[in-house]
Amino acid sequence: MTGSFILDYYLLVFFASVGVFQVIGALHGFRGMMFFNHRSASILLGLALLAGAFTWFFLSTPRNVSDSALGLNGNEQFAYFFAGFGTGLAFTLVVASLRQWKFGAERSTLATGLDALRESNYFWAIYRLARRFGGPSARD
Amino acid sequence: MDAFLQLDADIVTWLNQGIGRVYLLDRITYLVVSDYFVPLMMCFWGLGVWFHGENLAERINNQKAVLAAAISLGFANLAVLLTNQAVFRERPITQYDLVNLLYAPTDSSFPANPATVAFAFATAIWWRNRRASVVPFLLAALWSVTRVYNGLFFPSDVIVGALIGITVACIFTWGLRMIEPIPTRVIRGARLLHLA
Repeated sequence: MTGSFILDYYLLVFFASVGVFQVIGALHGFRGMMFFNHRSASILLGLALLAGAFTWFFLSTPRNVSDSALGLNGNEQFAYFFAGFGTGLAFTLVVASLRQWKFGAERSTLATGLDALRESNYFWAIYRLARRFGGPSARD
Repeated sequence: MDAFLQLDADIVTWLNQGIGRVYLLDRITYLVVSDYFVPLMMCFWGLGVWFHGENLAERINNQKAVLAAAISLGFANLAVLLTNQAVFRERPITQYDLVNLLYAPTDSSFPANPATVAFAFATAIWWRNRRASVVPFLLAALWSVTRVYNGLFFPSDVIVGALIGITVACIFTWGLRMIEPIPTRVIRGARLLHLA
């Protein structure tokens, strides 16, 4: 029977992922991923989230428990990792877009792929994508 | 064969004597031997590799490495599952009087699942980015050694597991090259959404 560690594991992956995205954004200049304009603040926040999530997970309760008791087996870990990392990514992009709402709003063109996040927040990048593919806003 | 099995057992029982001697080492071992710490570290490392690259070509190369690593990890797990249908070997912890900081697993000791998946992941990265594979290889080795140290596997379980993982990663890295341009199209799809 599994169950009890699922939420804890999901939260660990979620918060650690948000931390990793802050560090990645700061190190690679993807400002559209960062919660703060300052790289050093983003790195500090990212490392704090990463370390905090792991510390909480491993110190809050004994984790070396069989997957036939409260632990997670490999397949469950794989699935919940993707769930936690996916929501962590979505959360990061939404919060970073709201925090830096005007970042990239005035640009008429953007780089492709991830490089767009150096010039704009994710909201504007997706907005331009929608326009490019003839969404309602393209006909305005 | 008996001499080889005896040597396998001697290594485990000798290593296992270290547990309980140094408190700090035990705490670190408790963390590393866990089912969660090393796999998560590897996954987050893979996440970092996905976003890393001095230029577009390097980044796409890294992203293909991460794709290959994720697929290899899954199939390495499957390879262990299939092997376990044919072979069962009791864990050292059930055969000898050993101390263990994890728990007492009841599944087969051979081949070592952690070594298989971790080395599969590291090897898939290695094929496309030697430097980025150093950390996964170190984590794979550390995880494998702590599992033997804790009496959960014999050294031969870990060695064969690592070889299975390396083989699976080689096959799937080669396979992904053979089915080009599908991996490139997957990455292109992610690039369209500004995620690659």
